[in-house]
Amino acid sequence: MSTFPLSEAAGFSDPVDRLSQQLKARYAGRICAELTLPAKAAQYDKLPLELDTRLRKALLARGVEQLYSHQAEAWQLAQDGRHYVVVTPTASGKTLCYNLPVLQTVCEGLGKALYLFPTKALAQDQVAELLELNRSGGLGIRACTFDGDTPGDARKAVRMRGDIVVSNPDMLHQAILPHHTKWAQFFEGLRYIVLDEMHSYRGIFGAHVANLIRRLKRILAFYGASPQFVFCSATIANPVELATSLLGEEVTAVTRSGAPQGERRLLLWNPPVINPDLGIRASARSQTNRIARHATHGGLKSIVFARSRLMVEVLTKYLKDVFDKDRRRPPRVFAYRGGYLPSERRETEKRLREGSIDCVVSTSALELGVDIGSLDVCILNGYPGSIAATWQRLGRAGRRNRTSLGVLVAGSEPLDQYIVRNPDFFLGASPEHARIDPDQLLVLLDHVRCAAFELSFRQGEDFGSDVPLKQLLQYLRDEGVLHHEDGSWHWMTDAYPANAVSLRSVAEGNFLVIDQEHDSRQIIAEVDFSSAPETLYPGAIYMVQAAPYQVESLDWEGRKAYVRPTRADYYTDAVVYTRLKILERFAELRPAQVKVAHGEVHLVRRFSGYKKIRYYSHENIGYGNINLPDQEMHTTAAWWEIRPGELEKALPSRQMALDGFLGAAYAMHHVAALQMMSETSDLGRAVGDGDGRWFATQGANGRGQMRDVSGDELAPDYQGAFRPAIFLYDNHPGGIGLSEPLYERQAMIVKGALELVKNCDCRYGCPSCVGPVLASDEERGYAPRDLALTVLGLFSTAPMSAWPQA
Amino acid sequence: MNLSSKLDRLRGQATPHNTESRGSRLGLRIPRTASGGPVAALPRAAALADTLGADDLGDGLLLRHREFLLPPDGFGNKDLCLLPEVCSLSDSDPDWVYIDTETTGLSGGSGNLAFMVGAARYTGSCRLEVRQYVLASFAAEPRMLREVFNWVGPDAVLVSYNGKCFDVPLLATRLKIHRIEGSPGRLRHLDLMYGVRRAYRAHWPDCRLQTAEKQLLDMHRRDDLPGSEAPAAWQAWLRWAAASQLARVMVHNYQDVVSLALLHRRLPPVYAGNGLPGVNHAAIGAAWRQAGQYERARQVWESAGDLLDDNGSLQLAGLYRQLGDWSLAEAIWLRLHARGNISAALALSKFYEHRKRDFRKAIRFAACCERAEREPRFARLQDKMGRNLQLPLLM
Repeated sequence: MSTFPLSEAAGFSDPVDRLSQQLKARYAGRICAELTLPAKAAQYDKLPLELDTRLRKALLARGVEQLYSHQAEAWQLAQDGRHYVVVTPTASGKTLCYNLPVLQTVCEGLGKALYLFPTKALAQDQVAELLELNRSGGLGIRACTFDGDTPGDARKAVRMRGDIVVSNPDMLHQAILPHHTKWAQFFEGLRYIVLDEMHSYRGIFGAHVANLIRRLKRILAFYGASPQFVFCSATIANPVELATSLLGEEVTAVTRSGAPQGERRLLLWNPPVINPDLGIRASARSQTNRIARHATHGGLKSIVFARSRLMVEVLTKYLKDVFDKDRRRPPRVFAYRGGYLPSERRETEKRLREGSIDCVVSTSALELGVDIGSLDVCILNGYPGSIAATWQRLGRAGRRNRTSLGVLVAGSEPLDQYIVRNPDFFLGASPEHARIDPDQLLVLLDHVRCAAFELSFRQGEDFGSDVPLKQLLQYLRDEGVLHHEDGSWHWMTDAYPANAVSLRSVAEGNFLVIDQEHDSRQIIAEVDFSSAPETLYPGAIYMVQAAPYQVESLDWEGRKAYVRPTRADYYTDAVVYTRLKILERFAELRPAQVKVAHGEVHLVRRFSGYKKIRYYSHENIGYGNINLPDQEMHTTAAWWEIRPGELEKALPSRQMALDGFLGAAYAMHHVAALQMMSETSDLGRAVGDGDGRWFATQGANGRGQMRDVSGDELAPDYQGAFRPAIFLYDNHPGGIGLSEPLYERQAMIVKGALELVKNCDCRYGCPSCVGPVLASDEERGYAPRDLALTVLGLFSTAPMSAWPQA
Repeated sequence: MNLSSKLDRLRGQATPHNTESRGSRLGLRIPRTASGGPVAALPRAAALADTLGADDLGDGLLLRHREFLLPPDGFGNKDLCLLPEVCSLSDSDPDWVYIDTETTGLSGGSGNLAFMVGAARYTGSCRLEVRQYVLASFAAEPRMLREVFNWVGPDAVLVSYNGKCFDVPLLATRLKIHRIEGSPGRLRHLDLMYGVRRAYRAHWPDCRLQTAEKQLLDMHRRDDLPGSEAPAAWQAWLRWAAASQLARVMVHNYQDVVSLALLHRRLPPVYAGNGLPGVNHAAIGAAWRQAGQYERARQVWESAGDLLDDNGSLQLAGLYRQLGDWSLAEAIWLRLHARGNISAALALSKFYEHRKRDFRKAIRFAACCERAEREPRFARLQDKMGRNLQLPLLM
């Protein structure tokens, strides 16, 4: 037997390498691009000389003899008294960037620290780690979590004796700040405030957290404390900008990681075309399923990310059908997503860390820093919607010294197709900007209210630089919430305002999913308010760990859904109608042929019914009705219209106009999401007349339909004036500041959409450009794709606005 | 469009189908006034003082002074100490101060303040001086807090109803907010609610102050403003200078403070152990025992006779054991054991093992214990007997 040189033998036996060779050999045609990120050596720095000896001992006991360069850099910023933000990859030893200066301060008896994590689970992980350091050095530091699970009698001990209190924004908001006098001693001694997972504080949640920090700083000032803020974040394009707008003060960044990194491979995978005429490709789901099976058969641990809870359940079922057929054996495949009970999620996390799970299928819930040990392969079922989220998820596979493989499987959506066909765009792009609007009026009003409860506002006080504080206070006075006296604004009602404000959304109230089969009426899941109408209508199939339950009744007021286990061989998908009414125009462009504007809109979403879709074959096997109240929302939008006259000239029939507008809207929505660097779900799209009189939707026959307020179909040619418009709206109540940049980038969005449709390989239109079209569309006599091009061509006559080119 | 109408519009549609919760979120919604500006506070304060029959101390602070004569009951200060919480004070001639507040909210948190503080102390054996401080404006609050705590003094023993959890922490919070020295939480404090709950929790529908008044003092308030409407009464004063409801709060608060004194005088007989029906004797005796007052505990439990439940009997037996009256203890345990009480069986097993050193009997009683107790006991007792023993059959 001959012997291989060691390195070759190692390379040959590396199972990740073997899998990637196998995939490339078998599916060469499906792999559009391949990227290898080479392994990276570590860069070290010495342990700081001034480090407390006990702390040094604790580090040495855990095998830390020197620091990575970014940890040393953070240490120096901390010593200089600066606020700083650390942005380095997953598993680069980020936590030491704040633990070290904090522990030093506590060891020297100089002060305390408050740690905030976006979720309770992350906070608990963090305390475990601190306690371990504490033990190995005999530091005698008291680190405690303070969250909803902390028992009443332990709370006092945490307040009085905790050196490091680990909590979350919701607790700070509802329990700590409104009772700040109980925390007086803690606040007076506070030296550091740490916000980890900063990238999750974006959008509406970010706006809330920025205002929460404004409230916190007011209370700190009251107690004469001015602690340093430390932020940590996964990779985003604008960490300094985000940290600065969260804090309202200057923040310095630490971005160069000194941690080592194993080699990482990435494959961009496009499912094969199965109907060239219609441009239909095999589903991403089928490909993901296949790759995950290869990985599991090859003895590799893998994680699959799906974009919706539904897809998590579908994929889990398919994989369980293969790997967990034998019920006597411990299951190998698990699902993980929001909506499962915390205890169940903790259990899955524990199994992941122990390595007893071969494949976990998850939504973005596992994208955050939950410790799940090391995995070999990460499969993304569809583009996650943003570049930052893509890298964040891919980072779940691969630790320091091992090769890892990531596969991005493109779906049929335009964004996915754009990315796999233009790999350079993705591979070369910088990650997204995290946007927040701390001055979003509704959010601001909520927090001014809470702040007034905590401490009366005095004359001349401010609440962030550009906030119309006085007007807001007057508004609250008019509402009877505040009393104005001698220049001060006092809380005067019998209410605890923080209870009425949820940091995660504008609408309130989670729905509980209750299994009626058992006498105990067990709660099996929780669903947030905004997704409840799409998932919990009576008749819906709701899945938990791939086990189907049917919703029997929905108690809308009581926020409860009653379900029963079922054996249905189908899943359900809601049909949603959206109509919009323009309330106010902020700005408008009026070139000769079109009009482009942005402003405030009133939006109504109606859940008209649902489709039953059979497993595996994915055929539509029936419809059901949904009787739910319409969901209304007040938000901002940008919209595009074609001037009367021009429209009739370009598109002779109204039916053609509807098809053209729907197709163009589809392409523009996806391009806008990409260009705005936001997630597709942050934006919504609609086609209608802007008065909320009618809206357009794609009917079961694949053709555009005109529907009135009550959802009934109208005959386009028998209506009066016909002024269709395309709306792209900010999908959060009150808006989170997306519509103005949409308007400013309007020309770029139209141009991008035009290119997307023009360069598509299909003949009539397909899911990758103007949305799915049916086989019968050939009989229409015209291609929806051409109509969309006509509409987009007209839109592109609007001049470029004065927006800096990307 | 101005900010206010913009906000109205945004909020009108941000949370649809939820008007009820939106309504409560807004609190009391009042029509907007054109001017909206504050009326000068001081002339208003004088007018309020007139309405309430109070003195205007200036700066928006009012004080009403009253004297209340208690029905003569022959009680001395020592008698008022005959409760488990305060029995150690009987030699110190305590300075009782009855205290009750009316607040802007009941939910806790730093934004709630007391707009009225009622307090009373003895000026003779049956004579109470009652003081009620009232805020005519927010600005008077720091001064009121100073005045109240100066009058209370550092050596007072506060007497309240639920004051340990509500009134005192609330006042402590407000002191912190105004940066006034002092921590009322450190004052000695008798919270009558604990004593009432201990004795009557199982027998009354609830243990609110007014229930105690009805049950113990045979007092029925007429036309009383419910405490929960107090916040609205002060709001009405602030907004519209409407004082009528506030006057009713004043009456309510006065009644509360006086009731505290009456109730305080009513409780020691309940705790004395007269074998009254409708009282939880087990809990009362336990409180005395916990306070180290074994004779009182014994008196309460023994006088209860058949009214004492099994749990109380076990505690009495425990007390006998503690006092060395083993035969009395054994009698109770045997009586309870005969009724199948396993705690009594355990006590008997211990008694025969350690006290009587009758291992055979000890094993017999151990057989009736729960498994976790039984098995180690068997092993040990066999060991002690020094020979193999046929275990008794388990029931």
